[in-house]
Amino acid sequence: MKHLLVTLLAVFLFALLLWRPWESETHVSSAPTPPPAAAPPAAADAITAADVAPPVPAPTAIPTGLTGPEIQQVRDAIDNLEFVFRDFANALGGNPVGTNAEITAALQGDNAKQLQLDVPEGSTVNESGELCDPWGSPWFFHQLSGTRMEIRSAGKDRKLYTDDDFVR
Amino acid sequence: MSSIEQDRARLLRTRRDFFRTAGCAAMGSLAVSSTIRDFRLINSALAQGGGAGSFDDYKALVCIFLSGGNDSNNLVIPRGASHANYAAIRQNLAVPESELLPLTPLNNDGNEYGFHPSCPELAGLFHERKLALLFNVGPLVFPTNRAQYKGKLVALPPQLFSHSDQVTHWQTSLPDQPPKTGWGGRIADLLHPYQNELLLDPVERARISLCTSIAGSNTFEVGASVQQYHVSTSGAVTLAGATPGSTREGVVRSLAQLAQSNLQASAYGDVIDNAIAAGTVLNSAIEPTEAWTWDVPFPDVSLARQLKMVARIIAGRDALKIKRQIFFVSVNGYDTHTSQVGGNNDDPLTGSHANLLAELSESIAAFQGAIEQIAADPTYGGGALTDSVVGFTASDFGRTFPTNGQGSDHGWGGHHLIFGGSGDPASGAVAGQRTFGTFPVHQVNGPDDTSTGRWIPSTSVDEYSATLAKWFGVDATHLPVVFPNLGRFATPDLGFMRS
Repeated sequence: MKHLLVTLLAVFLFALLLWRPWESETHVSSAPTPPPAAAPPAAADAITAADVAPPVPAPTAIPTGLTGPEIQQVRDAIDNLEFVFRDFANALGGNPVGTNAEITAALQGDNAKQLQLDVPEGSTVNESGELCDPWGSPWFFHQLSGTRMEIRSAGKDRKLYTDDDFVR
Repeated sequence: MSSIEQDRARLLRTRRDFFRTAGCAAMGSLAVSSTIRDFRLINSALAQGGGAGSFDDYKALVCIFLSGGNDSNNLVIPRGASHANYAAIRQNLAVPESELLPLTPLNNDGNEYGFHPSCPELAGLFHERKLALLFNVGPLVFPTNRAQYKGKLVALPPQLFSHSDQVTHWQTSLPDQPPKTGWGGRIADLLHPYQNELLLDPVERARISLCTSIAGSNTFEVGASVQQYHVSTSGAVTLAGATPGSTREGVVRSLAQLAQSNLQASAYGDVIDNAIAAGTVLNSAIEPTEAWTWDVPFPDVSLARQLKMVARIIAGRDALKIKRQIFFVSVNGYDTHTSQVGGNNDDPLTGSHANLLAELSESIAAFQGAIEQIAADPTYGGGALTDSVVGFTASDFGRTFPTNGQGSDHGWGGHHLIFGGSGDPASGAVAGQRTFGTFPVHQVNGPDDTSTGRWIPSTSVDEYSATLAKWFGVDATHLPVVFPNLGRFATPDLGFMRS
């Protein structure tokens, strides 16, 4: 009980030191403080919060340039990749960031907790230290937020942003 | 259980208890310190209030947020000897030197620059001394150089290179703290009482919030006490099917004003009533300019429509009884991983980025023209209005310098525009036709690069924001209150504003 009181007193003094209310020279207490005007509902032609939010990944598109088994292959690889990202985020509070190589390095131990995760099944690591899709092209990681990432495979043609890209 | 195991269990429990208690204490301290900061903002405002007429001038700050991350490497482009290096690295994104709009800054930092050819209006404003450039700005926790970045020797803004985190960092200017308020909102917390609560005559109090957004909710204008007021591009939205002063409006307002025993119901009624009242006042204030013919026509694009509404609200400032306003507008589409350039990914003069820059350039020029037109109008103008309105750009991040084949990827530091003022070389609000900050060395793995042509900011958002805030009326004493991290950086006033 005594310790608790001492702690509370210390916190109060610390707070007082930061706040420094004695710096206020004049207080106008007679003036009422009405709340600022409230925001009206958004108009039909107003730009909404959704318009200014970061881009949301499009729903998984079915690439026209891949066969059924190839699509399943890349789906499985991304599933495994997502498990690794999930484990990383759980341990470190968010996805790894940076280029593919920086993200790969982070997954392999270059992180604050030196957490090392296995290369997920379906992916490989190339000479540049980049995680690659089943066709050997580096995955493209589009970082939307600390916890959301769009993952893109360049597909069989190994060129990004073509018809056989697989995105999730 | 043996005594050793019992001891171990006791120790584990104790350690667990310790961590739990320490964790709670740490969280509590954080909450206390941020709440105290908010108290201090409000307290500071109260302390300085001088009763009626705290402001004798008008000032507006307009934030243009380029959502998605602007490739400012193609907004301001090196000319002369440096262009070949630029072209070699940017490849299909590179704008030919012959197409650039040459800039002739009044200062000389040893480089030659040009604007993207989609920006003739911006080049015009630059040479009229109504626009300044700030190079390589971005969110920082501490000043950071390449060695520190590579060696992980300094704290970095969390989740670098992700959209939403970097937007938050730009708009809060507090990358090392959980987002709670934006820096525009914190300025409003400090200054709004001057034109509202502290004015002894209720008739003279501001009719709307200091923070107005034409682009919906945003973090930038979130204050501890001030709420952002949302307006559409056609004005405030009031009751559907009820004209101002109509019986229907009166009935709804009467219902909203009914005394309620439930506090939440009472607060809800106040919100409804205030919203209707404020909407009516604002629409009335902007009504006279609805049919205006603007000297510089606003193009029919999103950004211009938003800026036109900002200009009309500024024209109605006297009716709104407002002396300080912060506006937020936003334009999407800058996340140019693909289709950044036109043709077969080989024409930098067309494509999505060229279109976006054209929209930016034409819209800013139209807005500047509108402000000058309002200033010259005998009814709505005022001698100093032109020097009272300043706009600036912000964006998620800059983009990678090398091409990805079809566009560019997420970067960090980027170049930004500050515009407005009369262009007077001595008294114009913006020290125009000048460049500020340090242009990055265009070299992959060079001194300014993290690794792939992402420039490490040489100027922090704190310095950029504080320079604008100082001009807006935040005194030197309170700059560290609004920008708690400002003291970590060398230049709280970058010099692009004339106070």
